[in-house]
Order: sequence, then C-alpha cells, then structure tokens
Amino acid sequence: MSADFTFCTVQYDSGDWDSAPLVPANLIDSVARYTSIRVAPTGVSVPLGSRDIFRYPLAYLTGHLPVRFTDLERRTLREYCDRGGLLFVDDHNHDVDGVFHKTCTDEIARAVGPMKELSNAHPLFNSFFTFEDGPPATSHELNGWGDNLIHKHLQAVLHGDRIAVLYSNKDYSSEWGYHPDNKRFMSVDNTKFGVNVVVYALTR
Amino acid sequence: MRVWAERALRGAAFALLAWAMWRVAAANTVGRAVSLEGATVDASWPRLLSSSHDAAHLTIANGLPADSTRDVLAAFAHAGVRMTWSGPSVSAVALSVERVREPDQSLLMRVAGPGRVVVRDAASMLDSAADASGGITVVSAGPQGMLRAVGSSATASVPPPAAMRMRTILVLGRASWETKFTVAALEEQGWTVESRVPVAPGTAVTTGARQPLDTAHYAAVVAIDSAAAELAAAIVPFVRSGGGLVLLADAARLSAFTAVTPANVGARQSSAKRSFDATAPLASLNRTPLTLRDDAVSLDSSGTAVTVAARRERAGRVAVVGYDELWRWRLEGGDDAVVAHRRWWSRTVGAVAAGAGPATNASEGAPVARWIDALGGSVARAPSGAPSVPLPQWLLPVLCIILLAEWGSRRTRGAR
Repeated sequence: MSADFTFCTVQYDSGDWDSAPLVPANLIDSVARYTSIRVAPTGVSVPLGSRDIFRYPLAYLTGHLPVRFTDLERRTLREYCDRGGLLFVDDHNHDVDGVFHKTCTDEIARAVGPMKELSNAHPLFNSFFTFEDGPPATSHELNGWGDNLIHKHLQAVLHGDRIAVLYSNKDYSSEWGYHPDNKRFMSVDNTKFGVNVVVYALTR
Repeated sequence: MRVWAERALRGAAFALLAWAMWRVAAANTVGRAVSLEGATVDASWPRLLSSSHDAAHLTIANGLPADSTRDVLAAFAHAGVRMTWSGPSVSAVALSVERVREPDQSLLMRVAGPGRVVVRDAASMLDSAADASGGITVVSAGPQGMLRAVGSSATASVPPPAAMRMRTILVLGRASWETKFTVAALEEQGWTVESRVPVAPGTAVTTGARQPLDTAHYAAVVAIDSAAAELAAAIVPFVRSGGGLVLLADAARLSAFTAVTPANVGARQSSAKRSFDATAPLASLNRTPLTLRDDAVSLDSSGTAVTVAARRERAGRVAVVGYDELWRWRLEGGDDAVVAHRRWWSRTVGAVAAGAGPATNASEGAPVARWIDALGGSVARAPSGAPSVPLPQWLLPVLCIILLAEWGSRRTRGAR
C-alpha cells in the first residue's frame, strides 16, 4: 500500500534548515494516530532548489539563522507555489525581531509575494480539529520567551482562497520537537494543529 | 360529286399545311428564352416577367444565388416558365454546431465541404481550411451572431445554440494529492465542485452543500479511489438516469462499479521512464492497463495501450482512466503543465457530464439540395433561343392519306 502523504522538510543553502529534527516524526505520529490518511512512516528532506520538491506538495521549513535563498531556490519556490504547493514556515526563534523572521519574510515576499494576516476563521483552523481562537498558543509564547508576544494570527500568502505559504511566529518547531513516545505524558496533545495543516493541505 | 370530293380533299390538305406553318411561325415569335446571370439575377426580373418569355436560363458564376432568388425562380418554373441553369459544379457545405460541455461552453463547429471553407461569425473569420472535404473541427470561445461556413459555391449557416446550465461535479476520494489537485483543476477551469474526503473513521472533509445525487443537481461524479464505495449504491442509478461518472483505476476496482465500468483494470505498471520527463508528462506516469469491454470505446491511448475508455450505461456515460497520480503532471510537468492538467480533467469530465445540449445543424442547410429540388439539375449548356415546337405526329400521315385519296380519285376517273 503506497502512502498518500510523505512529510517533507525543506533544505536550503543558508541557515540551519535541520534545527527541528524531531518535528517530522512527531507530526507523522499524530497524522497516523488521529486520521486515516495513509502517511509514510518516515519523512524526507529535499533541497528547495531541487525538482524533487515538486513531489511533495506540502513542505515544512524552519530555522534560527538568517535565510537567504539562492536565485534557483527563489525561482523554485515561486513555481512550487504557483503549481499548488504549500510551504509551511515556522520561525524557530519565536522572535519578530529575530534574524530568521526578518530575512525569511523578506525572501518569501521576493519569491512568492507579500504575506498577510490569516483570519482565525480560515478553514485551516477547523479542517480536522477545531481551533475557535485561531492558532494554538505555544508554551514558548506563554512563558514569555523570544519576543515575549502571543501571536494571535498566522500569516500567509494566498493564491485565490488557497494558502500558498503559511508562516508562523509561534515556534511550533520547539513545541513539537520531542519524541512521539513522550506524547503520552501530555494532558493535551500539542501537535493537533499540525494535523490540521496536513489535512488542509491534502483536502483544499 | 366526285370532283367536289376531290376539291374538298385538296382544300383540307392546304388547310393542314397552313395550320402547320402558322404554328411554327407562332413559336418563333412568342416562345423566346431569356438568359440570366447569377450575379445580377434580381435585376432581370422585369425581363423575365415580360409575357414574351416562356423560358429562362441562369448562368451561375460564383456560388448559388440567395434563397429568396431560388424561391422566385421556382415560382416562375411553377408558373410555366421553363427554367434551366448551368455553371461550375456546386457542392454542399455542412455545418454542425454544439456547445462543449465545459464551463466556458465554447462552440464546437464541425464543417465539411469541398475545397477551401471559411468559418466565420458575424464579426470576423474564425478559421479556414484549404481542404475541408474530410471535415474540420473549429472551437471558438465567444463567437458573435450567426455562424457561417462559406465554401466555394455554397454557404451553410446556423445560429449558436443556447447556453447550458452547468451542474455541479462531485469528487469522492481519500485525502490525497490526487483528490486535492483533481478538485483544484476542475475549480480552476470553472466547474462548480463539491467534494467528500474521508479523513478518519466517521469524519470527512466536505465542501458544498450536499444535494441528492441526481441529474438535477450533479453533472458527474469523479471517483478517485475506494472512498467512492460509500456512495456507490447511489452512483450507479445516477449514471443510469443520465449522469456521468469518471472512475480512476482504484475506484474502478470496486465491485459496485463492475457492471458499469468501461474496462477491466489490471495491476498497476510502473512507467518505463526512470524520472519524470516534463516533455512527456503522461508517458512518465505509472499506468493501470485497461481491457475494454465490448461496448466501450477508447478516448485516449498511448501506443497500443488504452489509457482512457468510455461507454454508455443506459442514459449516462462512464469513463475510466488508466493513469496513476495525474497530479504529478501538474507539479512536475513543463511550463504549461498546470493549464494542461486543468484542461485534461475538464475535457474528461465534460465527455461524460450530463446536461449536453443538442447539436444545431444548418437548418437552412442543404442549400444545394434545395436548389436542385426547385430548379432541377444543371444542364451542360444553355438551350437554343427558340424553343422547339413539335408538330403533331398525326399531321404527316393524314396529309399523305388526303393527298393520295385525291390523286387516286382523279387517276381512276381518267383525269390528270
């Protein structure tokens, strides 16, 4: 039985693309745990400048360090989004004054277009689990780390009514960066919003 | 007494000869033909209306005259004027127009005629063909007014058919890229799409307000995979009542669709190409071999392998697709892949969708047939100016008998 979904982490030449190595396994576990989606048991890492990225219409990008895409990476990202791909970007710094945020948002604007605040009524927030107040807050926000803000909204580049780039300042990369076996110690599974991202990407 | 009889016979012979000469003379003065030219035939009506003409010959140079002219000439013929015509051989042009069953409802015009044919609307030329004898197809998105196919000697014309009401497409599939990009392609091409995507036991992501599955609401169902099993019992009656169904291979394997599928599907085969070739996207996809049923037809093939097949199921139509992971065409194909993928899906769904309008044929059509029906076939050349006036066949024998009787009577009584 072939998989309908393979988790893809984006590699890029600058920065630290592999700063959250436990996130893929944790989200794969959640998708398998809650849904009937046929998910591949292991994820893949694909260079942004490679044509292989087009085999994975949902891709995850994170990091702490400055992001500067190469021309090829920029062109590939634009084409990827134009063809229907969805890039999910999470700021691993949780800091609007951080270098990742400033450089990555600049690169996304250059490659795909300017981002806008995503309404908390967007179908993303009830594609599987329901998040009435929009994106769930992370423990890093609640503890006042990073920019000491609780970000009420995500940002996005929309193509029509479809999300082409989803951008988070909430540091889900830290929030979800633990071994899936430890999920049993949590009173509430904090990866549920990740399931919504996957289901949204596969159905809308 | 005998002498008086001889004189009577001579008088009768002279009278018959005088009558015959009068008849010939009358024919030469009354029954003349008038020659008409096709381009100026309307201006010739006064001459033709003159009582001194009881025959007319029309010479056609450039195409048949207008229908109104044909009808007037036919009226003259019915009134006793002997009508003939000649000219270069005229041939019919056939034109059939129907709306493509896709959201833009382009007009599909099929044209056949000898030699060069120009297809045009009220505004401009749409297309032309140097030789349309084998038939040509022209698709135009927004023609204006009456549509015409103009051949060298005839013109066919039809008004554009009325627009259709396009109904919704229902897509059923698991949460997969194939389902997502099938919905995207159809929506981007202008279809109204509803979808039902099961994502967990008892949970499905749905779009649109689900209506009863009937042809009043839906034009077609696209069954991507086994997720269609849930509605299979309703889909088959929907198709039989006129709806359309597109089955991808995984859905065609469902036993519920065995009775309606156009082909038996085999085991999936990997593409011979090792990596995706953007220049040959469909050849790069994995495929499922299709074995056609007797009543199915191939809509698309690659080499000898059928890749899309269709058949009628009572009032509806069913297509089965042998390509696997068509979404890769959109993501990994060439620069035009997104548009090509959309169009492929729209065309495939349109091929089975319910709600087709009837084709409109050239209603004033068959202009050549109507012309020949009214005026007969062409003659090789114009008849001579004076019509022949045949004398009665009895005239010569009677005249001979009278003269022999008169001569015999005189000789038997000794006169010279």
